[in-house]
Amino acid sequence: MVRNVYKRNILYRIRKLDNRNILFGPSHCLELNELALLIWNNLNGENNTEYLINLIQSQYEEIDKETIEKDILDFIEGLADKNIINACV
Amino acid sequence: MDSIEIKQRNIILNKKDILEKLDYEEEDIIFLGGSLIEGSINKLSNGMGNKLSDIDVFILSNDIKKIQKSKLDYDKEYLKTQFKRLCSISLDIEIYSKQVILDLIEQLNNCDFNTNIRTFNLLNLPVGFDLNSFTSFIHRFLNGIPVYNEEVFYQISNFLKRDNYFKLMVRLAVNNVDVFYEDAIGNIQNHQYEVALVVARNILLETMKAYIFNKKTSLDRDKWIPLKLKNLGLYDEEVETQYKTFAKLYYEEKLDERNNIRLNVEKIINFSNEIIQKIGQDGGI
Repeated sequence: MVRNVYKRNILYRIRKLDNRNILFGPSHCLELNELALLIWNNLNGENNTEYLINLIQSQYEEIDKETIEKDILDFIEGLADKNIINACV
Repeated sequence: MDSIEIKQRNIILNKKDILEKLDYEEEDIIFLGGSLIEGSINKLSNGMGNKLSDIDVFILSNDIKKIQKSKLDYDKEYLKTQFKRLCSISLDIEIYSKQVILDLIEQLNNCDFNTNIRTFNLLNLPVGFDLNSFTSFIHRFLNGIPVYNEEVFYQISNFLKRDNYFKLMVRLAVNNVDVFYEDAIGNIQNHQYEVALVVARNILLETMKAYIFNKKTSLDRDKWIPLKLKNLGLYDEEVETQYKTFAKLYYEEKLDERNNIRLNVEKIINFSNEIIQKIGQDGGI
């Protein structure tokens, strides 16, 4: 279940390696593309998912809102399932 | 110029008087460094050096083995140290093998930052010469005033690829952050907030060091971090903003309750992540 506001788990951090954005943490290591990085940077415990969807849509006007919404929510859910981000109560 | 004005001590040193104090050979290179000198010649080091500071004298010796051991206070294979006085100022004299320094500068110039070799092992250092000694030497070389064989000093200065030096230093500082990172988190999880705070402060200093080097500015002691940031901030609005955040986290937050300590640690870690990510985006790592 995707909640509205999420915060990055402090255990995870981004490092630039070989020109790639790598998300490091104790249990997972992921490569983030620029879009995923933009989302990551905005998961600050203040911005809600609606804000993220609008932010991404403003940068990718050619993609319809439903697709963007589904992609973002899938990405967020994946991170939350791995405990890389935490829902704010 | 035949003389050097040391404003912080209100004295003028004649190069000739300095050279008279030293034992050197015709092909050696000699330069002055340290906080008094750096504070005099580098606008980003304004405020460095005080009435108690000494002057570092560096001799790049063509044949370090020729220097008689009896004249030396300390003696290592590639670095020899003497202490003398001139006009009430202490002179710390460090004598390096010119060949060893030139070889290390060449290695630095040819560093391949895309290999899997750990940053700490990028240079092949001779026995008895550690990386910190070399990078500290480079810092003082970049902020030095030549007093003998000045032309060769400037030739070496032009030969040195500064971007490689700055990149190396950024990487070393970020590596240090990563060493401290899990220690800080582990201590938060273990509710050892005071310990986590000490570690987090190291993270903050190493982060700002990486940030300063990424701005193509050098330093060799952590104590100069606030001064360098303040001075850089006079010319760069972004640095001014980051300095304010650094100062708030380092000096200004109220840490009278355990929960405030934990929050301060978390803020430092988040700030560090932001800065290092930014350095990465700028291509600094």
